[in-house]
Amino acid sequence: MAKFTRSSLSRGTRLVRQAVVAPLQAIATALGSASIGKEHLSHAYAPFRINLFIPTVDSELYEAWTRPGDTSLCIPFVMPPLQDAFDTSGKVGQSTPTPILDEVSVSFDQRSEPAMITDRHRTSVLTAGRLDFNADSSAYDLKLSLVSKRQWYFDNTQSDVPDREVMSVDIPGVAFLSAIDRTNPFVLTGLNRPVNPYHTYMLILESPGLYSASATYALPALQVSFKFRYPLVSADTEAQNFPTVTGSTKTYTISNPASASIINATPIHNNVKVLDDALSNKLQGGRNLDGSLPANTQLAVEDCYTVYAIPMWSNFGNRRLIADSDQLLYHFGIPAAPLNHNTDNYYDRHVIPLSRSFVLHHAFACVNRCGPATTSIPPMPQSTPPSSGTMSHKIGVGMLVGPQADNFTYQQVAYQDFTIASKVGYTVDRISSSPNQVMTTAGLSGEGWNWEVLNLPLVTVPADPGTGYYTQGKPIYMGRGTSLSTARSHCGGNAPANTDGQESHLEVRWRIEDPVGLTDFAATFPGAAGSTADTYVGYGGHWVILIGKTPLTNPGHDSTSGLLI
Amino acid sequence: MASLRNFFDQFANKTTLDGNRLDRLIRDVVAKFNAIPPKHMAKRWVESRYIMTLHPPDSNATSSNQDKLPFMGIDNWDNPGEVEGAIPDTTGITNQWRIKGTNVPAIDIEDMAAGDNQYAWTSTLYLDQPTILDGLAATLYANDGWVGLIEDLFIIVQVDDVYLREDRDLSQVAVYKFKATPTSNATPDVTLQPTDNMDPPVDLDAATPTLLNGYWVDMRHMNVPLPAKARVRVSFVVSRYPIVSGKTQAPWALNPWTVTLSVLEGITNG
Repeated sequence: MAKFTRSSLSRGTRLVRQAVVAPLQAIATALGSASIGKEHLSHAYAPFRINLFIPTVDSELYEAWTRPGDTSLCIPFVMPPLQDAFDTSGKVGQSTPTPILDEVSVSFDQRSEPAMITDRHRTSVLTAGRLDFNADSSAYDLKLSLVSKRQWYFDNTQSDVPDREVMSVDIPGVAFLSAIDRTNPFVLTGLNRPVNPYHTYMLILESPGLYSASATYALPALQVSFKFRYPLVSADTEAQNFPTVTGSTKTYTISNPASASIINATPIHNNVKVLDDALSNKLQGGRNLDGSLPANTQLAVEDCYTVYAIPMWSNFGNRRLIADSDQLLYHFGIPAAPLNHNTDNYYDRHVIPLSRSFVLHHAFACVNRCGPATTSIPPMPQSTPPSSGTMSHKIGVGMLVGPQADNFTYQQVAYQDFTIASKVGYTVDRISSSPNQVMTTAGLSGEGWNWEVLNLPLVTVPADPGTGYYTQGKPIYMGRGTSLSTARSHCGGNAPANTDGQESHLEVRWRIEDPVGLTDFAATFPGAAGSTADTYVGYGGHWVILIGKTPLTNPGHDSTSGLLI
Repeated sequence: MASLRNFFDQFANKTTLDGNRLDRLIRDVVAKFNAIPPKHMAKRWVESRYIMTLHPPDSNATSSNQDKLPFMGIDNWDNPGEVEGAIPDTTGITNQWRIKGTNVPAIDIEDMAAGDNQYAWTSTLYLDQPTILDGLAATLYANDGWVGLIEDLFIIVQVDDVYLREDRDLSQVAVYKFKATPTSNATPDVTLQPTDNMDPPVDLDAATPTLLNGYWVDMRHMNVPLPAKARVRVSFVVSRYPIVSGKTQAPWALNPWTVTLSVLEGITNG
């Protein structure tokens, strides 16, 4: 909807309704039809964050580093438009919402001391986590970059290497070593960089000083946060598992004086008072915590773009999971003895609470194949992608009711099973950190890129598909409900969803399996791996990226009656 | 007639009703509704989530592969186990007790017997604008034959002092959950176990085939305001008891973690 307009009063002429009443009527109509859009708001953007947590980055990642662009920590992510704005040609039009990068921050744990933290490669595992006050400050020199490339899905002839730099900053190690005031977190604000929503972005952290022949260091609890802003968006009207309860609007009546009537202050004042009261009572929009709607709504834009970046397999095993049967491959825990690598599968799962409703639009899996050659104990080969045709990554997202609840059940919302042969049908992008990167070698699979970004299609009813990179369902609503909001539309093939409008958490699972065996060709554990270096989980782990909408909200508890907070 | 609360010009009977005042009022009304400030919106916050997961490394002391990072000793002191090399004379240890309120029986941090200690994993966030700390959830799984759980878990959220940011004595404690004994199951009724109707399936332990089991803490709607330019530290402290106590050893190594921190950030202009 366009901005409101008015005509200035011409002096010496008859006062007409168009000058006095029409502007007020237009505003009243917009309020009464929930049409107050972002063009009417002074603050029409909402922030969202891409938060990337890595439990530990240590020196083995940089042992093979010899020049800029070599082995580095790299993590990709994507921020495509929501389904209602998605263009399968990848063109950014005038109406395509565009994220704007505002702020970047990086932090790690130094035990609150002006010191560096040693890692396990210095002497033994027992040396990890110690304070070293005497190190050369250059050991903590960091270079943080955010780069991007057009996605393989839109152009599969281009290089895997990003060709655009969004931002880059060199942080000297001395910034982290002052006893009085350390720059940890290190923050850059006010960046104001628009980014292309159809690109893949990659964080690259170069910290070669962590490794030297005489001393090795770590960055424990590394946290990198990219803060973007995004225009407020309208709520979904068609989604799976959507609350069927409808909202209501309020009528704002502007009286229209009769033609040739005497101009009187009272009706003019009363007309303006109607709008004045609307402001004082605050404009309503956005679902309440239980999924119900306010008593009456005035806003047309009441939702925000949001991203859940979920690290999977982080810190698992030796910070990488490779096919070497001599490595310690532990299944999701510490059993009394190592499991049979060939008959037991490896899976990771994480449950995330839903404190507010979330409408899932896209889901992606970022598959990590990174790992440099190291001479550390134990020595590790340079990673190669798995080559077994029977190996698969099975990745699923579900919503559930169960924790702290009386009922317990799951409803699948996204799932895909990827093999070497099938993944091309879900590939969004292939990306490497740099041309001279030494993180991944092609190996028997012939694939030398560091990361793959794969689409996890949302469950769907075939007759009513959604929009996205590949065939998938419409957006899926998930959130807690009361009697006001538990009645929901269908979800996938279920009507209603198994969770019956009571979702309290979402769960992400990632399973790696090979019926022929995950290990290499060692006599004890023969398997289908091409070599010892076949890497099922690269250094730092995989990621699942969920893109969707969350409503505007307020802190604390809000009521279901539409009362103001 | 009640006054207009959001506009300057007021109209009342027996007062001047001239074109200038009328024109100005209509202008102000249109201008206000073309740039409605956040104070006139009932909901003006949006949730952001920090999701942190952690698979603990192997606790086998003879393994050369593993270590306990990001967990580190809770006490910064001049001890060969905590410091590599010499401590500078000029500054020394500046924050021996960087996290407070974590004392547990049977562990004397300043006089530790062999094998006991407390360890902390601390993640630090920076929040440039005023923000509201809304939720903090931590799940620690106990699946597939786990032999024990973390005991006496502490969850502490601190905000650095605005003037002396590196002096942890001055930090404000925003959230403090202490001595939690994580023996609860995730579901109140352990017999209420559904068919695992989500793919991919989860391998269940034959002895305790529960889909969700472990430690759950889920603090919601805490409504803790955080100032602008806040440096926020979220710490998880676990205890390693002496062997003779019979309690959990190597607690950092027994549970995969899922931590979800939720903050509310205000809407912004372009």
